[in-house]
Amino acid sequence: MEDLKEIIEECVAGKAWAQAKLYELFAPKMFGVCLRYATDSAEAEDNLQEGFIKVFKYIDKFKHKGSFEGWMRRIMVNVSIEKYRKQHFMYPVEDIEIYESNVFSNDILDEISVQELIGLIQELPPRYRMVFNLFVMEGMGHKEISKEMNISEGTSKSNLARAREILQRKVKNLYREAETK
Amino acid sequence: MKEIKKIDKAVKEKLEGFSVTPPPHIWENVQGQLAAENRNKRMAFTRWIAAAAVVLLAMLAGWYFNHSTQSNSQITAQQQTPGINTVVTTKTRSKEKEIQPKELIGENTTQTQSNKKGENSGNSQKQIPVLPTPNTVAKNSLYKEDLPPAREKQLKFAKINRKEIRFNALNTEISLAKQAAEPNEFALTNTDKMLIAANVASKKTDKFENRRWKMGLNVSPGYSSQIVNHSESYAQNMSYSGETGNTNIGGGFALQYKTGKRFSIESGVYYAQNGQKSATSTNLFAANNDVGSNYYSSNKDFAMDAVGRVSAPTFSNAVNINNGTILMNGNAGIVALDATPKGAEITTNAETKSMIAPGTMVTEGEFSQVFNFIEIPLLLRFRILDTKFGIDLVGGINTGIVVGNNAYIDNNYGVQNVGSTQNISEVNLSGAAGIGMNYALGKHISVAIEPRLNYYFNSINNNPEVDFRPYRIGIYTGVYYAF
Repeated sequence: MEDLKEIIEECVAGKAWAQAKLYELFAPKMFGVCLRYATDSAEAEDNLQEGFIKVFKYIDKFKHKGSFEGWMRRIMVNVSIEKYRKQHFMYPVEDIEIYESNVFSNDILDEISVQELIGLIQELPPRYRMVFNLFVMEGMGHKEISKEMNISEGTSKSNLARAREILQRKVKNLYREAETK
Repeated sequence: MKEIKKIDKAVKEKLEGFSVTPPPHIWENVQGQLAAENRNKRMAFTRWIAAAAVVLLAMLAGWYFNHSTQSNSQITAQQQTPGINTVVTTKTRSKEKEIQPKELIGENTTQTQSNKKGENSGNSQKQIPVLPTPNTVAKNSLYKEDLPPAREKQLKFAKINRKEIRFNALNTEISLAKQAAEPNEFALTNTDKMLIAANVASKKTDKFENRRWKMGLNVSPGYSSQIVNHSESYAQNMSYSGETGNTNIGGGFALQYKTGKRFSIESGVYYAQNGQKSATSTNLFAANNDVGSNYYSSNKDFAMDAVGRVSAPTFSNAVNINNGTILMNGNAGIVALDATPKGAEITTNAETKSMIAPGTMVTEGEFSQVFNFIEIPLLLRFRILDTKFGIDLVGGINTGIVVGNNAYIDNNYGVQNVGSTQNISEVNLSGAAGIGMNYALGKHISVAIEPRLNYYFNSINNNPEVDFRPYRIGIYTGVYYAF
């Protein structure tokens, strides 16, 4: 990791080779993050691009406390949230209902590939996807999510429940369809 | 609830180290944008410098001109004609009948009584390469195509999915198509659709180009002077030089209308001042035993040289007293003085037997003729730089209506309004030319600074003896609102 620190410092100095190296190191993983938050690959690509520009712009603000990957990831998530806000500002507020979920078995999820899972997450309605990602992947609480998304905690909770429910159903459908074929 | 959490855990485990190599064009874009941003940073810096310079200049100009115009505030002093003068007057009057007034003030003098003064005015477990994909629909299918052959089950998924995707491809709006796939839960209501459509529409129409009108308020500190020519006979009886200009503040309201991409026309109402002052010079007439000299020698405020001559700024000019009205050849035309100004003395040359000037008015300080104009411009603007910081070329004509015509003497009694200039035509035409610089602060508001020259084509004085064409260089500084 001594290496990474050096790369970061060179990035602060604006060295092109260091920027290229940093991108090479982190782009695939960050693209993975962006894909989870986006509706499709094109949106994820846009967010990745925008995110990296921010990373290089503000890299001097990184104080080498905590993981650099986490810092970068936070930037990608922020860009994704920002994009969501811009695109979906006119969507109506969802009804606040808690949906009870069916029993879910882990095995089913084991059957499907990572790509398929990403595809299913992308198919979620935008806000459900955002809340689900923030809660599950980023480990945020509902309070935090409600602030980030500018929604109520109740909405966040219900959105999460709905996201889970839809995901489960979709996974099951996929599984069932595969079985019947 | 525990069961529910299982899915979270499972998803997290599955996706945690997920990474995909992004298409190569993204890195190119990032590099390109970084380079562009560096350029912009430099641009932004120069823009800020420019904006700061404009503001500073305007403030300096405002301060400077304001400072120097304060002394111009019009204090009209009540006039009392000193006793001596009446005596002098009677003396001269008898003489006057013998002298032809023509010689003194030029041909027009005899009829010049009518015109009185006007107002004042990271790294992952598995990396699955993804090819660069031109469109989103195709992309969804890609994830399925890259599957390892061992997972046969999932190939079936892939087929099913692809069908679904093809269906989606028929819809142009991807996100909406996906919503449509689950119509029960996520269909947008009609009102929502209308809202979205309205939002999109207003976003499109809300462009800067559509704001054709612009109105603004200006202040214009400036310097005014004139091009002046006098006939020989007139000049003979004008014994002071009136070459100094005048600093003053004008201002007004402007309305612009954009006729094309780069052209706009402008009109408005402005207030401006034109005038001149007598140049400060030592009094040529103040010979040792002159009245003027005696006056100064008795005034301790003024320093005298060894010979007893005064070095204080003085004004002296030939006057002609006609039926109680004092007429004097001023730079801008004949001035009719209502009475002898305070602190001034009129001497008669009766004793010297000179026939040319029957009297001389002497005072320390300065004499000025000031005209106030209401100006209605018709200007054509051509935008040579059309960015946030814009540059315009401005040219056109200006109708100047004289609303104020006053003559002042500024001496130790303060600024006295002593009369008005005769034969001034009320409506005059001037040409205007300038360079406008403006900076947009937002969609609607912009600030502008515009040095502009206003020059009167014809003499504003009807008297053929006097060719007086004032001009003014003003720095029009203001705020504009576009709508």
